This record gives sequence, C-alpha cells and structure tokens, in this order.
Amino acid sequence: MIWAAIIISGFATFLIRFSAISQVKNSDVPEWLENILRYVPTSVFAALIFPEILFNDTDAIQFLGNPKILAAFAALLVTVITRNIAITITTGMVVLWIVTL
Amino acid sequence: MATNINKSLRRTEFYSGIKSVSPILIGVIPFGLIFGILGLEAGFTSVQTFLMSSIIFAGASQVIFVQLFSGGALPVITIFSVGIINLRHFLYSAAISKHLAHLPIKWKIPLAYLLTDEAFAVTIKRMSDEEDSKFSHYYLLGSGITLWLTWQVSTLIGILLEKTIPEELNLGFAIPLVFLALIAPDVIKYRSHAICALSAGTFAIIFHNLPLNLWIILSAIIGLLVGAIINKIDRPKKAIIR
Repeated sequence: MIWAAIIISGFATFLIRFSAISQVKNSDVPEWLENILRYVPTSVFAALIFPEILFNDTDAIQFLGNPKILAAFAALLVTVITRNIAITITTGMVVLWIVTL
Repeated sequence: MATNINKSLRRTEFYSGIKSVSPILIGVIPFGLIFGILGLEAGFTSVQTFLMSSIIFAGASQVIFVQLFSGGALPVITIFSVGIINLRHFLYSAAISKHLAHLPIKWKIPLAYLLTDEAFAVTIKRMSDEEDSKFSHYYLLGSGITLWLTWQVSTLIGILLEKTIPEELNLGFAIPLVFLALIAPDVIKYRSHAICALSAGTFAIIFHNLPLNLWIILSAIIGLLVGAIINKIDRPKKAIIR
C-alpha cells in the first residue's frame, strides 16, 4: 500500500511536470488560470507553516510562551535580510535551541 | 567543423547549468538531510525513504507524504495533497515548453522529470536571455542532474545519520523554516501574497481537526483563491501581475 502510494504520487508529479512540455506547439496557460496557480507555493507553504508553529506537542494552539513563534520570527527577519536558506534554517534552529534546551 | 562547435556549445551549456545551481545547493542539502531523518522517524523504512527521493523527487511533496501517511491519512488524500502541492509545476512546464518544443520525446521525458523549483528558476532565466541558444536544454540537464544527485546523496546521509541525532534537537522544525524562506520574498513584496499566506495559514489552523486530513487541500485552495482575488483588485492600480 505504501509503495503504491509512493509510485502514484511520483507518477502524478511527473505528469504535472510533463503536461505542457509534451506538447509540440507552444502552450499558453490562460491568464485567469495562471493568476490562480501562481499563488500555489505561497498558499500551500503557508498552510504547512502555520500549524507547525502554532500547535504545541499536545496538539493545542499555544501563543504565549511558544518558543517556535520566536524562532520563526527570527528566521523571517534573517531571510528578509539575507535571502539565504541555510542561514535562515540555522538562525531558526539556534533560537529554538537557546529557548528550549 | 560544425559538429565540433555544436559539441562545445552543448558542453558549455551543460557546465553553465551546473554552475548556476551550485549556490542553491546550500539550501537543498539540509532539506534532503532532514527529509531522510523525518522519513525514518515517521516509520518508513530506509529503502522507502531513499527511493521516495528518486520516485517523487519533490521536497515539499515528500515531506507532506510522510507526514500525512504516517498520520493515518487515507492514501487517496495523501496523493491528492501531493498533487495540489505540485500544481505549481504545471506553470513551470508551460513556461518552459516553447523552449523545448523542438526536442524529441526521449529528451522531453527526462527533462520533465528533472523540472524542480530550483532547476526551473535557473533555467528559465537562461532561456529568456536574448542569446537563447538551441542547446539551452543542456543547461536544464546540467542543473537538473546536479540537483538530482545532491538530493539523493543528502537524503541518504540523513537516513544514515538518523540514529545519531537526539530527538530534543527538534530537527523537524527546519522544514517550516525552509518553507518560510521560500515564500518570504513574495509575501514581503506583494500584498496579495501576504493576504494569501495569512488566509491559507489561518484556515489550516481552523480546519486542522477536519476528518481525512483535508485541511491541507482546503486551506491551500482558499489561500490561492484569496490571493488571485486580491491580485485582481490590486492590478488596475499597479499593473503588477503577481
């Protein structure tokens, strides 16, 4: 079952990447569709970020005294300044460790 | 003579592709390491975790796959979530298609397989140059293969290191940090992206206890519709299509 899910996910991923490339002529995405699809990364990644940061180990929302919020803000600040993924990860993790360990 | 020139042009494009993607590897390596660790922690075997990196070959999708699947989501929901996350690749495929239109299918299949966020980002820059050569697909091949190898090796190292890394380090937290770094430039720059992120994030929290792990799909769809609507409202004023 796991293998089937992995292979289908892989095949689906490939098909999406292959979709327009497979065409012989230029394929233009209609503007309305492009206008929606360009928000996919922001939307999907934000949907993944928020719960990861705001929920604590017991699966409850925690704003006060949540070390992950502090770490995420530090990482956000650093990523805006440096635009560097490695420095961003390092900053976020180090702040989290300083607060929790 | 002409074949020699062509040969050296191909080689130049290939190596330029490798070179262009090298700075980005600093972000890819930790992501791959963490995926390897996460896969094992989520209960997948080493072989499953490792092969996922070549079968799916898409970082964010692989993370969601292991999280949802190990969290007991139905396979169909897991696959559908992976599909939603990868919809962005449809845009890449369309944007790059006219530069690859002249190629035979035996080229198109491997190039499509290698079309990740990073490979697209560097290649589309090269292809929209004025001196777009007829060999610029070698640029995509060079950057794509480099990213592929880096992703496989870093996943493998993550798998091998998993036992040695103490759980208190909370390494899984690096994943949202990677995503944060990916979306931050657009979110800071464009109102539509900022509102899109806030709505998707808020609804992800609200929907978190919905059955079937539907929260990713639903909150992502709400986010991108909100983004598109705000864009529509903003555009006449600024003429920015982002």
